[in-house]
Amino acid sequence: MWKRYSSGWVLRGVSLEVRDTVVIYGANGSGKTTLVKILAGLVPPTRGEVRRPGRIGVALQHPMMHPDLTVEENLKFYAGALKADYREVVELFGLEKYLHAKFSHLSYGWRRRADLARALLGGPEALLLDEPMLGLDTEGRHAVAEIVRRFKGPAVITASSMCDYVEVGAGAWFELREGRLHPTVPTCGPT
Amino acid sequence: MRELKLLARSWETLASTLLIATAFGFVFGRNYAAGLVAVNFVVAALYGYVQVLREEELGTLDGLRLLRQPEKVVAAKFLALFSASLAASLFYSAIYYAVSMRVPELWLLLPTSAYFAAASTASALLSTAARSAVTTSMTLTAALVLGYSVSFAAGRIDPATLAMPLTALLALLALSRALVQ
Repeated sequence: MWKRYSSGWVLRGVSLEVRDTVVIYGANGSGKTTLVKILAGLVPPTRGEVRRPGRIGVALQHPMMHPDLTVEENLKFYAGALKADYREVVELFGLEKYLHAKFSHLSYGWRRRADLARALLGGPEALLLDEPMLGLDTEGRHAVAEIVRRFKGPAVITASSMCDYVEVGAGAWFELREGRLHPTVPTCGPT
Repeated sequence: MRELKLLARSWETLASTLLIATAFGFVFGRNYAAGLVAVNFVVAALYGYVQVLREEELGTLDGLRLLRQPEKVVAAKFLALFSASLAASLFYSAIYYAVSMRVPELWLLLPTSAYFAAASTASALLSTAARSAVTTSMTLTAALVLGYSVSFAAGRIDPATLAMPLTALLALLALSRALVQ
């Protein structure tokens, strides 16, 4: 895949086959979010193609839950569209006490959790998570790591800090640098 | 349902709509059709922002895109805008009647609200698909409603004009895959 914006090339020939969990590490502005958006089908690549499995659970850095609706209203809407039951993910992320709270009234960490719950609605076949641990407390990071470890299927996770993601037990690590993926190993011990 | 809840939660937009409809009810006490067009133009632009452009700014439109149900998304957006335009038109009609004591031409309500809602939804979705600014949406809405407004001002609502809302909606649904994905 290649991607060019008006400012120049962001991705310069990224090739990736994902079978289990892959963590893509990169500095700010390295193109991680662009890569995730292309994989999700939200942004077209300038050149190249993406072959996707059935339904993908996607969580970007900006939550996709509407701030003017409650957590339950948001989850109900997406669950209805996907013909899924939202109560499972509510339990999984411990969202019971925030169900009736307006999404915009939650703290950043709880907004991320609720949005991750949305991404997991209906049991997606693959996961795309853009820095899912950003802004989460220790408990939240453990919960995300546990969910990714349990997930049976391909998952792509981006990270700007390696330490937070060692716990997810990824099968492969790459560094996104100068628009290309370079195999790497995490340089931080388990947290 | 989600779209109607979003409309109801935006109290500033609701307040603006009621104030504008009231103001136009007084200003256009002598010309019902002119006031109706003016109310619908302002309301369609306001709610087009709340329903589409703000969702794009927030990033929540990405969530709807990921559902891969563009026709449903476009239809829901149009219906919500149509409901808002129709409600504002009814409110304007009530004020018009109270001020002028003349019976409003209520048969104009449905085609006018439908046309402005379709034009505003199309403009907002086109400008998000083109990754352009809010002002682009406003320009497109203004351009799309010009013909309808001229027809109103000339005092003749021909069958072609009346068929415009349905034509615009069908075009919008046909384009939905390109606009929302």
